[in-house]
Amino acid sequence: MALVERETLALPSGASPGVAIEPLGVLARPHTKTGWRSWVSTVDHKKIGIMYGAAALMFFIVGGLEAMLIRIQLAQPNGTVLSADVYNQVYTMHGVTMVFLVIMPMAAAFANYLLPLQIGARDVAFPRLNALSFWMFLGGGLFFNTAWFVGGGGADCGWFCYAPNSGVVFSPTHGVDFYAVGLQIAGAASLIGAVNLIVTVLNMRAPGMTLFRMPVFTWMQLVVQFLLLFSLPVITVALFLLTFDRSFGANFFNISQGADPLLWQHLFWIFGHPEVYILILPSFGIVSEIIPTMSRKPIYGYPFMVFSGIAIGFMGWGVWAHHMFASGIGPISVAAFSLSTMFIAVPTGVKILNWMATMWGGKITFNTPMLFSAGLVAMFTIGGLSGVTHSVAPADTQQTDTYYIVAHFHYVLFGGALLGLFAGMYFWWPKAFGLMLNDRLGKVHFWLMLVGFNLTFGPMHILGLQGMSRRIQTYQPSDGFTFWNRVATFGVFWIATGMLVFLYNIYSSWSSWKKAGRPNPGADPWDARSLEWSIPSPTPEHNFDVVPEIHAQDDFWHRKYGEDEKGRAVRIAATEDVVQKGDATDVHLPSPSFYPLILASALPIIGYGVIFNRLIAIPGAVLFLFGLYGWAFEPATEPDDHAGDGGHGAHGGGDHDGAALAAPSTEEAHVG
Amino acid sequence: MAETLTASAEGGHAAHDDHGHETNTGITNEKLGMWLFLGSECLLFGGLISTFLLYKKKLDTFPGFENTTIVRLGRNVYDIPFTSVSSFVLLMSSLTMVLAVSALTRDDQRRMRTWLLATVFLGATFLAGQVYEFTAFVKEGLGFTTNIFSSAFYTLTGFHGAHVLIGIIILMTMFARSLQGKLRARNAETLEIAGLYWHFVDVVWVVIFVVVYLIK
Amino acid sequence: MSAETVATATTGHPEHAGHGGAVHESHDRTYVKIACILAVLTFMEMLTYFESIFPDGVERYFAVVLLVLMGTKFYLISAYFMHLRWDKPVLKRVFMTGIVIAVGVYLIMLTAFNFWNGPGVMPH
Repeated sequence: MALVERETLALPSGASPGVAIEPLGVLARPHTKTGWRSWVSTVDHKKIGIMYGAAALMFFIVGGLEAMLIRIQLAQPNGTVLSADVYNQVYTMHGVTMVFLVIMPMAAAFANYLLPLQIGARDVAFPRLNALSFWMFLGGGLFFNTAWFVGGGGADCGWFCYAPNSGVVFSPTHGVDFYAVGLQIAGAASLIGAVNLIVTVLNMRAPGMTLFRMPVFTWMQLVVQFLLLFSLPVITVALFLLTFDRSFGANFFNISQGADPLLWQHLFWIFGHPEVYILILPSFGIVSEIIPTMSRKPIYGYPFMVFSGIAIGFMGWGVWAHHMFASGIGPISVAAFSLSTMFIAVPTGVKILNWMATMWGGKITFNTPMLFSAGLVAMFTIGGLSGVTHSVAPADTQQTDTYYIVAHFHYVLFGGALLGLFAGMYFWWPKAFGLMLNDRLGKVHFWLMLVGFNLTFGPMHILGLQGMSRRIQTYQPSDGFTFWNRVATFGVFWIATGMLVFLYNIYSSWSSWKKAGRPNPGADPWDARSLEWSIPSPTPEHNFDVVPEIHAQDDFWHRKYGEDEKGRAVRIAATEDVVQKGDATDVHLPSPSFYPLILASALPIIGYGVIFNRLIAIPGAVLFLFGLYGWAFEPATEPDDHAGDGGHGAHGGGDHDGAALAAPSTEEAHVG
Repeated sequence: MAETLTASAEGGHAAHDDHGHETNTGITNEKLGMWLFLGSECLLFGGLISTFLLYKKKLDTFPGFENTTIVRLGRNVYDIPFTSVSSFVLLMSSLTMVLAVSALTRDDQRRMRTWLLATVFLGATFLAGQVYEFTAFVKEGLGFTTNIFSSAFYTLTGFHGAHVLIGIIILMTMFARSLQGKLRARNAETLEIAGLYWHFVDVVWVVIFVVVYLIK
Repeated sequence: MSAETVATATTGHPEHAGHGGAVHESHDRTYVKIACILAVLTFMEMLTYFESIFPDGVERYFAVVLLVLMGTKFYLISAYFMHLRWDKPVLKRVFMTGIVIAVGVYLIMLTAFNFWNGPGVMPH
């Protein structure tokens, strides 16, 4: 509903409206620019992006501790650290946390921060909905984790929560209820975010920024948002059916009534396979920005990069049942999905080759972001190849539910997605915070991660082929699993040390930066290619002083470099001369608001009501309505709110969420 | 109506250099957002309809359940003439909805309010029909928890009914805004977007009526 | 959800002003015509319920006929009432993508369940 957020039309003349402002909001409009109030009421895509990242890091630590518990339990035969029941909860919570509360929001952090910057916009299309997405994700994630304390234990059905294990009979605590409701809230948040970001990319590009001049990262995120848009409703259906079964006595997964447990598997994986690409494509986008920058070459085969991403997006819809080869779906289905799965490896292979061709012959700087990017290319290739072995159905029936599968998806999610996200953090840290992370500590972080990761997950290939099943609580000495399990547990401490180095790096880089008198890294510390580097670091609140006019792919690079007669890049302008100053004062920005937070906080309350007692839901519903109508009757932008000091409604006086941001086009001359 | 929008979008393009409010696609953010949301909703209702179809068939073939009361209840409870009338009512509410939007683009407040109220009334009639139908089913012994068919049936039609209810609330809010004098021709698109949602709910019912009620 | 919510602007886009009258009247007539067609199609759909008025053996074509009628109604509403016919193509593409993916994945899913086979062939 909130999508129909049409407020008054912007005044074409830019003149201030001549009517007095009615005080419409119930709550006073927040005005502070610093302190906690400025964060909880912000609608700025950059602050929201940073909050997404911080929340995801917090959940990463939670999920990482759960992973360490698993490894400690499996360090030796007959482990007694976790009981079988608690073990079920720990691996379930670990998986759900890492997929839905770490990688997805971390990717959303980059999408929020960078998409508007890379297309030359001042914010996303619906800034308040953007804030709502974040708060709903955070509320859903925290709600899900409160199952430990008030639900009688975490969810214990595995991250894909197959029926009938998810039913009340086999999972009598409230853990699964928290899974269903928590993911429902987080999923709705992602859906709103997807609509928001798609509209932003399609509608708010700077003049001249055609779709095929957009950076690859923006393209990959656009594909991801479309995948989210169309896949989330499927998991929404599945989760509703599960909640109705558990809370209202419906029969969707009641086998004794003739229900079919495969229905859950189909619905989950129709969502779940596009979800796999939702997790990996943002990282593909990130390294597609870093590798050309650090190799000082344009990305090799840009159209192939883009079209292979789109192809992955489409083909991702036709492969879901390869997760179900062992579920008895029949030989024709197995053969069809086996073939489609083999085909989807092709566009992924195209990407790997393009990255290598980009590096080929380039002047490569092996700094931390580049190391993580190269790490992704190598590790994802291993994970991709073991994935191809799953597409061979006879082999897959041997591998299903063994540690070989665990090894595979950690190689693509940790070795792929997560290494890419770390690469992105090191790369864009100066843009977001105005300081560089220490490169030497970064390299230590990288090598600890890479070695630890291979020590942990490499042996799992062997364990799986030896027959060790996943999710098994313990094993016997006679099974012959002991040695490689010890190695894996040894490796996890390397990863943990790497993470500690990373956290220390954040702290020490910040404190030495402060001691050195807060030196500014400059707008463009990496000599990079895309638009976000043409504005000061950290990004000013209004992003662009003037919205740039785009004449080519990698437009910013072409402002700095031209070609000599042999086709070599030669500098034609100093970076300082082509970057913006960030000193515009008369930019009209959407005003902060408390309502997204209020609306989002109502949902977990309603969730507790569904699970425990319908009476609890009543205050939640009241809060929801209050937030909704308060939101609806609060103008998106106060006419006198400005980023800078002076300048009253001189131009861009948009009064609805989007219009103010598509700012007047530039008079800046194109250099080069 | 739509021609107006197209015309205004083009007019906006001409004025682009003066002020940068036009979007790249020429469609406002709100309208594009609504269409994206509706595209997403196709998969929501598709999932519910498929679940229903699957379980309707399952119930017929579940060993040991053939010809039991539960199965009989699961198959022959529909009152097709009644549902046809309520389908017709919902279809006509789509007509009154477009007429309301059309009146608003002319700033014809009186007609707009009349058609808007008519839409709300028709939608409410449809909902009342659904409540009547549910009550009749429950009296016959087909409750939400009775069997897989009934769970799927009530979930599907209930989700649709919830969408109708949300639509009614949106339209009533619009009506209140128009009484306050705040729904004018210049923001006709607000009503048009609400209308898109309303028509989509109608279109979903077109599918449900055939696939759930009529095809055996 | 929200209606116009700001009391600020009293003047709208000038482009929005000055439209009205004849163009919309003609559209209104189209809308009424479409609604009449929809009503007739719905009536035809309902008739299939009264199998006894049809000659024997016709019933087995009912499913196809009903699906065609359904598709026609779907097209008429989305093309005319939802303006897809007159609007920018990108909107049609977005909506069609949703429909195509939905129909595609759910048909495949039902096929994997042996949904199209006769009763008794289904597992369980």
